[in-house]
Amino acid sequence: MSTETTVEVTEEKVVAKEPKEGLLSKRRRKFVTDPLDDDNPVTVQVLGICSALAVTVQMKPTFVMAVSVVAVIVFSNLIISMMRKAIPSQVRIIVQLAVVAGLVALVDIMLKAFVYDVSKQLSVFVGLIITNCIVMGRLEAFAMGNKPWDSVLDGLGSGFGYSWIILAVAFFRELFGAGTLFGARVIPQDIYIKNGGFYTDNSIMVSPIGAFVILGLIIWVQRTYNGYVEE
Amino acid sequence: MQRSNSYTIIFSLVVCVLIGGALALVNELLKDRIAANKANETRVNIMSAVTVVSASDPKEIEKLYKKNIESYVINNKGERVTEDADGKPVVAEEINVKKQYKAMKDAKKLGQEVDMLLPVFKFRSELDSTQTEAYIFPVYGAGLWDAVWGYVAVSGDFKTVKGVVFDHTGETPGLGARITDKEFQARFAGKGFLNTEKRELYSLDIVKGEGNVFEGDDNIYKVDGLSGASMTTNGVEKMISDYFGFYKAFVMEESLKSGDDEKKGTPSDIDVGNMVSVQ
Repeated sequence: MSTETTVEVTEEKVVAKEPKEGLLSKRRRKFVTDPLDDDNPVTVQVLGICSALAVTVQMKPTFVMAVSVVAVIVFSNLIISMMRKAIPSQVRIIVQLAVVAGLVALVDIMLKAFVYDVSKQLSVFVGLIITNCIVMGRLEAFAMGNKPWDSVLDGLGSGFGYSWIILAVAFFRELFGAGTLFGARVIPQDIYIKNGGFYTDNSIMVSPIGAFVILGLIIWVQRTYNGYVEE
Repeated sequence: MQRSNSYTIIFSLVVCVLIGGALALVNELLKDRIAANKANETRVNIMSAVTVVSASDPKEIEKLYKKNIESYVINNKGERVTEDADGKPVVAEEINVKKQYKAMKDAKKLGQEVDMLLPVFKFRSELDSTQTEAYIFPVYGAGLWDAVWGYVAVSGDFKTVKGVVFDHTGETPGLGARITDKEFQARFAGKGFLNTEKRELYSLDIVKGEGNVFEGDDNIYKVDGLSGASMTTNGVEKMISDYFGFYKAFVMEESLKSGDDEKKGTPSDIDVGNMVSVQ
């Protein structure tokens, strides 16, 4: 797992003349930027695939899902990091689980209260955020051993890394599977076969198979761009 | 760091109490909002069976609903019911259709009959509010994987189906899930409900396959199906047939009352606000 580089438990020894590390120092910026490309949780670490396949049929629920996951990762990272020295090691996984589950239940209630129609589309998938390996993965690999602000940044990085991938997948799936984006028609109705034209929606895009294919293509493009070499 | 067992236990308990407490608090604060959202959705679904609901503001929808819908509750014998078995007053919109259905099925397994509480929503005509443009019934049943449900609207004279709305929990996207498509639901419009000569209800048949046109009086009970989703449509067909059975007594009685009435309001689409139809 390529997370070793980010688990730098830097206990900042207060040496009188050393300046305090900036809130967005180079090291900290890397927490946010690394997971976007080099260390992407979905395409490089291959985590969180299940929801990447399930919710990405349309862009609108994907967007809400992305926001929800970022919120859950960031807040659980923050909370666990703040508690990290107090958590007894025998129950640490359970405590992490409890915090994440609590946050997910919170997100579910908020969605039902404020964006009811979207909550119906997401239905079970919100509850499944807790099973998203990325969330627990970051807690165990980073938050348990790092300070709160660093953990928040790491959470943002992983969250955004996950988000842009699922939005990209959803973009192609909705466009080719339904001809719309965010519900608004993009491919004109006239060119459809049933209206006398030649075009028809790609039904593979509607099923998880299409998501797998697009994900594979994204990984291919990303690796070419980054110059990946098989070890 | 090895900690004492009691620390671990106390820590765990504190975490549980804090998290549980926080969730309970948020739920308490937001539950009215959520209930209002659900009620709004129910109103939109009921009205969508008959007309296109273009309003999106819940307050407007509530106004529209109060203006157009008169609701009451009946039992399987077609009699009006104002109280349930415990003596509490019944509200049509609050009847749990799923619970009623399950109670009926459980009783049937034991060979018993149970009195169901069946809501009826009368859609008043725009032009003449004493005339009924449509009767709307909620329906509930089993699809392939999980529940399917919806509303069936029939014309004021009971002769035809005016429209349907369907929803589901877990049918296959692209296959069974297509029952939520407006295009599929539109296939039910104009199909037969009450055969006034024979005094019996049509048995709607969602024909296997797709792309068939069923027009004319001979095909008044046939509905074009969904290719690849015959299990789901079988469930929908059974659901419709079950509920036609439940409401039969009511329909027979009511149709005799309004039998001679030829006055009907011209069906019109209620159009409030912008032209965005609400699913």
